[in-house]
Amino acid sequence: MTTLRILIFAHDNQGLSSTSRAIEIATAISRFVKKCSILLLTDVPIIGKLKLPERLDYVHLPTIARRRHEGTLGPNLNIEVKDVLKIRRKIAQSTFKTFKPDLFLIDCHPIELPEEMERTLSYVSKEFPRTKVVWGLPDTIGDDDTIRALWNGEGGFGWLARICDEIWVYGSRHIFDFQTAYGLGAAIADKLFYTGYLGLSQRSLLGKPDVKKVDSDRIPLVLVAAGSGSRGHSLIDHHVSFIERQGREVPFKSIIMIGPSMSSASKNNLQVRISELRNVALHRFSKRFHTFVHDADLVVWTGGYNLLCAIMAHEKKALLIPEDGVCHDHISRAAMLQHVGFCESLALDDLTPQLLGRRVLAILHEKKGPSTAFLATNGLDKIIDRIKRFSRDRGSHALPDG
Amino acid sequence: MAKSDLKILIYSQDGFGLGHLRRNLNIAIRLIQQRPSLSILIIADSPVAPFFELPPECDFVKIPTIVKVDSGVWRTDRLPEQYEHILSIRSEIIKDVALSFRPDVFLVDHMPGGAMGELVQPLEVLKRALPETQIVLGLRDILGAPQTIFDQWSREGAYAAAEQFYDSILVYGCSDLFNVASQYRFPAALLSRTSHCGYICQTPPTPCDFDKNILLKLFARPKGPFVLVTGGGSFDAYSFMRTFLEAVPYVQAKTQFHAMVATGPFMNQKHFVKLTDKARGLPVIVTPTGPEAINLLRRADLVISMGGYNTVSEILFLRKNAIVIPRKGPSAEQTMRCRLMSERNLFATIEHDKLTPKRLARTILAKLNATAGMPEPMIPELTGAHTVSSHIISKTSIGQPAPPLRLTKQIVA
Repeated sequence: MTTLRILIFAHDNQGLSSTSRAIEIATAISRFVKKCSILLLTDVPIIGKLKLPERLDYVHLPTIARRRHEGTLGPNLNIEVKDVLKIRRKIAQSTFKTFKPDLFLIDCHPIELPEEMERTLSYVSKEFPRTKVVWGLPDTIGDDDTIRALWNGEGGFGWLARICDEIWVYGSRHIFDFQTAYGLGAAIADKLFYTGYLGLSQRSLLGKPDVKKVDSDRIPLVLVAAGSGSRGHSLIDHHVSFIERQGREVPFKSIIMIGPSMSSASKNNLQVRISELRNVALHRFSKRFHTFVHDADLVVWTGGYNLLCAIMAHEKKALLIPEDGVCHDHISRAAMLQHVGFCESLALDDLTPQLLGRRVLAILHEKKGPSTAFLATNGLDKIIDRIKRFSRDRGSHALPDG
Repeated sequence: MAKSDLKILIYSQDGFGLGHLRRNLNIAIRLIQQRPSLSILIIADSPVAPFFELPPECDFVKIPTIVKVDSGVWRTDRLPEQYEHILSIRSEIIKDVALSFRPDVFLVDHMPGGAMGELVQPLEVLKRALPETQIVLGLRDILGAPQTIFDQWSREGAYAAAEQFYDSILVYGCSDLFNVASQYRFPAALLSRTSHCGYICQTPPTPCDFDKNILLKLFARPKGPFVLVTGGGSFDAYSFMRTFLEAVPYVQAKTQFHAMVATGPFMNQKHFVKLTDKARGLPVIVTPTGPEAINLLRRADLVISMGGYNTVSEILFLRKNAIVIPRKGPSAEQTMRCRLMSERNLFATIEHDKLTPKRLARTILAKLNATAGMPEPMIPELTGAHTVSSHIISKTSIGQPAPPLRLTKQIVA
């Protein structure tokens, strides 16, 4: 029996969404594909604090993180960025050469792909033609025009789609079709495989949520998650302002979850404001976010994919205030989710404390939550099936769950 | 932006521990204090790396973890692979990191050829490609029983590797306490490159949230002195921690005190639960601690710990009243350290095999009631971090003149 070797590359220049998604996927694979060995290449500095599944070890690369306050890319090491990239490329290549993966899964938004990976991928396609290279992408990667230009233009990432064997979209073709939206040719479109959202299995992996007695007198809980970017801070500001203006009348509790881009000083300011209020708690983003989502009645968030999956898994009401980025992916996601009636979306630029408060109260009052019945949320199961089939085709014997 | 004038690569193999990483970080912190423009890259393999907060201008490469089972016996940690396969991955990464980082100094911790000789090939390539790079071996105060280490080094070709690759050998200990060069029979070629630098202690306290208020919250009304029980990473700390909890009733009968049992990241969850159950009703809190455990040590009136290098160094540095219980094995390192240091009245020790609840209770009571008239401790040199850092900087062509290296330091009475 041979072991299926999987190498996963996850890059986060801010926060840890790519790495935590990679771990989520690896956890499912490790659990259901017994004969596997998974190596994760990551540059998240706090990787050693995260809970990792069995049969997974990691290689940490020197960081080229986005510096917290300057917004520019810079390494921790006091050397040129190009030299750090070279070290990273060398590590990636030597890991590849010696680990000899059967499957190479890249979880990284193409616009964020560090230079060193481009050369590593060329190297891989030349030297290791038998390795299956898979590009993993969320349900949407940006608005149509921006991505169309990047995908098809000079110096864009079209080469990358050509190099890889499959492109996995962790979303649904029915609500967002990459081929039509981004004008992809047939050769690329053939590589697309829609897994569905990574939602449902997350819940099954977590075990059944506690069945809590629904207390009719219970004050509803609103989770406000600001995401990893800094624009989410104004969302928090509006939410807190609303509560401040309402005084003691606010009929809900709030948990505010702040991302890594908030400085300690801003956090302290926020803490001071919140200490004056009842029923508001502040937390840094942590592994507990699943628990928070689970306990919440409404989640207000900036459009990150991982949180969306948690919202789907726990079937929560949601309000999306998309944070803008280079490729406008959160805005694209907001438009798409609003279009299919999953949740309401408000533009950050139009937001006022009154508007936010009004919508929060209105959604809390609605009888029914969103229906996820029409959404495929069994992405992890689909991925596992795909990997098992791939493993069988290679003649290795990854056994089904025993 | 002004770029680094000096690049230092550090190899720190830990497996299920944090000792080497902690010591290397203490050196890194001091290096950056002395020369803020340098860059330090640490190759680590602890499954919780980096665990401690890294100083600025410092980053790490984590390689797949292997764990030492016994002298010369290793296994992989998480991956279902032959360890030879993991070793080849590690060796290749180390080689490529060294070649692409192009360090001025490569500091290798405690094994001249690395774990299972994984450094031999990278060092050969590095020596050829970058002959200017200074290669430095760092050895802790005591590696193990002289005969065992002699046999192991002979078998693994460590003497040959040390002679072939290393420009200098720095011992993080004191020759009059334990002379590494003579105890491990260094040949003349190595002897001339070896310096004893003193013990390496943590210089600045780790920023931490564990302040007095939290302690007060944990113990609603703390009575009597505060006893801290720590086992470092706690991979094998369960047994002595359990004995401590069994000793508590005997101590309680005689005197008031409160204690914290600080378990590290490698304590088995079942063991942790057992300790928590056992502590119920006692003036003891069992709590998992992170890098801040060392700060708790500052607050303790009495420390009960295992005999790992860093904990012991901090006990000496902070002049703590302590009872140190050495790890049973497989290496004699801790037993030897404890024997030599307790002979110099630096702390009390109970051998692992002689550890019983009653005996521990008696020692705790004696320590808590200790007053004047105790024999004067003979404290070894504790400025190792500074000495090592100065040495490393002075070895490079652009190094500033550093204070003269104190080869051996007399024990001060």
